[in-house]
Amino acid sequence: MNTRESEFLSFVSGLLGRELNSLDLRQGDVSEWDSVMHLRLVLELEEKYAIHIPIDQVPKIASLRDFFELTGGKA
Amino acid sequence: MNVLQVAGVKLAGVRFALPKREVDNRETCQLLFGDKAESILKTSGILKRRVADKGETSLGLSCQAAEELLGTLAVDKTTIGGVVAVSFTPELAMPGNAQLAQARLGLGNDVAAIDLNHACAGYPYGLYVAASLVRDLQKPVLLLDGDVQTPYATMNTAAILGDAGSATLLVPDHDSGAWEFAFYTDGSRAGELKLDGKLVMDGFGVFRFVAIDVVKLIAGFMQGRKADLFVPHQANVYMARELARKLDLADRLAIIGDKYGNLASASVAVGLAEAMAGGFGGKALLAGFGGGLSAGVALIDV
Repeated sequence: MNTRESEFLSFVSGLLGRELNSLDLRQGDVSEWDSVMHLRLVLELEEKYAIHIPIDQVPKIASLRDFFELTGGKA
Repeated sequence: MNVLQVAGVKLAGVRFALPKREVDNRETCQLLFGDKAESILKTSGILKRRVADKGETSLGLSCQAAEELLGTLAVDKTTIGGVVAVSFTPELAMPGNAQLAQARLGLGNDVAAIDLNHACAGYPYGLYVAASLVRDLQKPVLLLDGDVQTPYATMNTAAILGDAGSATLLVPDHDSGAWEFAFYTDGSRAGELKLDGKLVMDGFGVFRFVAIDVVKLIAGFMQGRKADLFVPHQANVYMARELARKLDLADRLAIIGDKYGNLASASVAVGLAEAMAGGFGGKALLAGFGGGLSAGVALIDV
């Protein structure tokens, strides 16, 4: 895992309130990741990485890797 | 997509009425969700909500708005040819709000009183039915749209829902151009948002509906058309803003959800009323979406 991935996971872990150690975790794997948290992740990642995630992309995000790639990271 | 047109109708005015009780949504979120309060506030964008107390009903609030509207416009109630009431939380299951409104507002016994059981998509549907009545009757028609939905809230909707009633008056006008409407329904997804004792919502499912199906409906409808104002249903502020952004309408967006909460289909009436009170005139794109799952759009002259 590179520095950028670690930083991403650390940030998302803080939002979800639990330690996450893999980009392959999916929404159903993390009980704290409900629909409200899904939108919170979108908003927080948009702000942190100065990106915009179009509304029609948001429902397609199923894993942390999907989020990571939208931030410009290549896992 | 079927595009329906109704010509010869003019919007005479829109008013709304809110419950007296204003709720600070931060307090609600902290009470219900503790550490997660900021998540809810940030994603919904709803800072305050209006919540009905016992005795405040969808019909009562809508009639309050109607009395104010008819009084302001100095409308002779005997001239009104129809009343259309949109609500999924009527005062009584039977008779409906439209029939009760006929008596409460003192309308004639010959009015066409029509109830529409619709949730957040309801305003464009109600507007289409009311406009069609105006065209056929050549008389003013009153559209009432309101819900008191907070008594049905669950944990995942308690911090977003609000209550309101509204009244819209449409009148015949031979010089008015065609209003246009389009509708979308997918009843196979009814379980994603339903009132079954409590308001049950699959947040992911409803979001997917708005982000994909509703975007497609509105974008398709707006091909070759232009709007000066965009009033979407205010499910939450994030969704309204992102919908507008996706449709290149962000600079024409009316936002009211932050100060009142998700008012079901009345949110469109309230947004329109506030825009008109602010002096708006032009083409208004109205969009409702929600339970059904269903959606409706209307492009009207204001």
